[in-house]
Amino acid sequence: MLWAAPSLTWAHGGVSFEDDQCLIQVGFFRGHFTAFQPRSRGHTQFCEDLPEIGETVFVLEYLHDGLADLPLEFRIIRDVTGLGRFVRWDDVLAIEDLDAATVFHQQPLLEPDAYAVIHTFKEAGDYVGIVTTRHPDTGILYTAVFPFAVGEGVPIAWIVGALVLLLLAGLVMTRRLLPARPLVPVQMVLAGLALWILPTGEARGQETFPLVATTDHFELRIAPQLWPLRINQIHAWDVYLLTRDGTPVQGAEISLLGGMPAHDHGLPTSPLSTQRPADGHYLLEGMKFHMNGSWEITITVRVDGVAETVVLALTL
Amino acid sequence: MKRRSGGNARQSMQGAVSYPWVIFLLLLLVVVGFWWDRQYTLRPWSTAERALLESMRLAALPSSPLDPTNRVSGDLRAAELGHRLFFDPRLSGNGQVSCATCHQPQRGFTDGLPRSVAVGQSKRNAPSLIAVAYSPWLYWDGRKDSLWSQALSPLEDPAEHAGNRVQYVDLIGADLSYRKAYEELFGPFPELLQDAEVDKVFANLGKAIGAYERLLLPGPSRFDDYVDALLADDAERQRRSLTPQERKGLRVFLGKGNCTQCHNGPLLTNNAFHNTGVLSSPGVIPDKGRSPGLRQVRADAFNCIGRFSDAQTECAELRFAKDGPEMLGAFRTPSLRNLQDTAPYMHAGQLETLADVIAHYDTAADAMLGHNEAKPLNLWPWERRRLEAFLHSLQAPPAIADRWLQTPP
Repeated sequence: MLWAAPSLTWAHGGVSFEDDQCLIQVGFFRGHFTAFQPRSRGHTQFCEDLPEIGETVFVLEYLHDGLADLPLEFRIIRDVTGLGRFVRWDDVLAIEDLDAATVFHQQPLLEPDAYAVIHTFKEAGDYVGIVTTRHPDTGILYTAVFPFAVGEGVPIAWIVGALVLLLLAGLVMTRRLLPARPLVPVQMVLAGLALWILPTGEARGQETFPLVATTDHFELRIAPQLWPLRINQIHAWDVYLLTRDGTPVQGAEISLLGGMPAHDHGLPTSPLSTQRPADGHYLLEGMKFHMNGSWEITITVRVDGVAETVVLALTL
Repeated sequence: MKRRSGGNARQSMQGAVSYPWVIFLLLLLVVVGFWWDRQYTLRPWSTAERALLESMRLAALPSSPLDPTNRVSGDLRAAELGHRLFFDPRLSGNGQVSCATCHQPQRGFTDGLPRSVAVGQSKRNAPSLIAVAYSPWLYWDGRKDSLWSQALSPLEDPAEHAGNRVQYVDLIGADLSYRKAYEELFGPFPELLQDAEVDKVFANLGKAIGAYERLLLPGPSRFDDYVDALLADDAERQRRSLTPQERKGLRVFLGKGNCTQCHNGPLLTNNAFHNTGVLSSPGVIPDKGRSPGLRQVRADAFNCIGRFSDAQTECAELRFAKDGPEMLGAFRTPSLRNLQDTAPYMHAGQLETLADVIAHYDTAADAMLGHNEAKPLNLWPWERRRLEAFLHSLQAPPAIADRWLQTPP
């Protein structure tokens, strides 16, 4: 498959395929660079060659934060150098009339979130992509040059047709129908038995509040101000921080991270500890849950060079 | 061919497969299969499912919240002024566009287009305004944090109303009945219209519109009737409110469809931001969503902590707003209570029908920007159809008095 083929890595700026990522190196700034042909190929990501002409979206996501502050210039030229996969920045500089060879040019653009451009290729052929950026303070120019071909892929209809033929051939050869969905799935019977036999708690380690959690050096008393906890309402948590022998702790930094182990996302807000009065009472403001299910909350206490964490499991 | 005698014929059949029996058994299996599937998918709800259903019914919706940043949020006179402003096409650069142009009351306060068309072409789909008062964030990208501040943006957007605040303030000052209504709520209309005064009047116009929008509430649907019947243990009423197909769809909604992750609560939305990998619209780059939206709301002069807000200290949502890579390509979860009106779906109307939407979540392909939170569902085709049937059962006429839905006299 075209989009799965690994390619050469470029020392001085190019797109390579490492560990399932399409990496681009603009100078020493790394990004994740992909192309899409949404009208013809939907969500399929391409790192290099594009199978068809037509609407193409190039997306650069920043792995190095520095890219968010750099105005990025992107140019696509027809490969007039004839060097194909061996084209480098020096070869681009040597082109006499760059504009004549240019099919797409995005002037330097500062995009703090991600960089995306769109171009409709009208002709198949070999092209060269050139990403450049000049650092606003140092004036140093960083570049990435990557060649790619457009429109030399196998048309999708052929791929589909080939797959259908293969499938039919497979069916004919093995003379089997696809397995029918079982009427009484074994898993369901077992699950039913399990639910009947095992305790029906919704999650392990379910916390009840207010709760007292201890670490090596500290004792935390935690009470959400919204009780019972429910989703979609912003609220605060009271946290009392004491040493193991009961002395309130002043001046600690308390931070909180949360997420759902079953899904890959965190809390819908960024809670902060906002109050440091004298009696070890801290207020964690901006707590909010936006989904039912199992949540894992990690509270970290930092004071006097000591950092300790408490992990809570909640189910809403 | 001559028939053999009966005895010989029977003997010759003993080694062969008895086709009538096979067919009979297959048919029996099919019938049993359908019966069993029906029993399984219409089985009683578990305690956890009942609790979830209870949280989703309309009766669980608290009364329309007052906006602390808008001191006239609960004032009926403000709602009446806002009502007039909402329908007034003079609030536009060409005198032909009012809020109701894209937020049409008879269409669930949206316009049925993928991307709205007013003075120009908008790049986003017009969200429904029903129950909008419950969301801490407005717009698909949450770039406004109150109803009143949101109302101001389209008024000056060249693609929408294409006017400017000076023009609108002048209109209020010159129109006697507007001026009177304004002064009753906000005090004397400023004589000298410098920038600061213009901004203040402009903000107040938004506050009146916000007070009107606060009244736009959803009405009870057959789903709500079903849950009420369930809680009352009224089996007959349960059967009347949802068809078996819809109940099976509800099962998918709560279970395999994973829908309640984001479509939860009585409005079937958590009003939070999620990236679900929606493909870009033709001819445009993918929409970056909440990331730039958050930056905009933080810089907005009309936000919760700005000087036009009536409650600058109660801004937890803004102060603790989630930032970071999860917000790239993330959009606000819409409510599911109005789906027949709000087609086409998604932030630029990319998905035409509910079947397309369900297929989109079923596939859960890679996002073009950021990371798709959704995972493939592996729904059977009948599960998709059942889910769609259930979604239709959420539709209901809004709980809004007629006069608010019509152009004021």
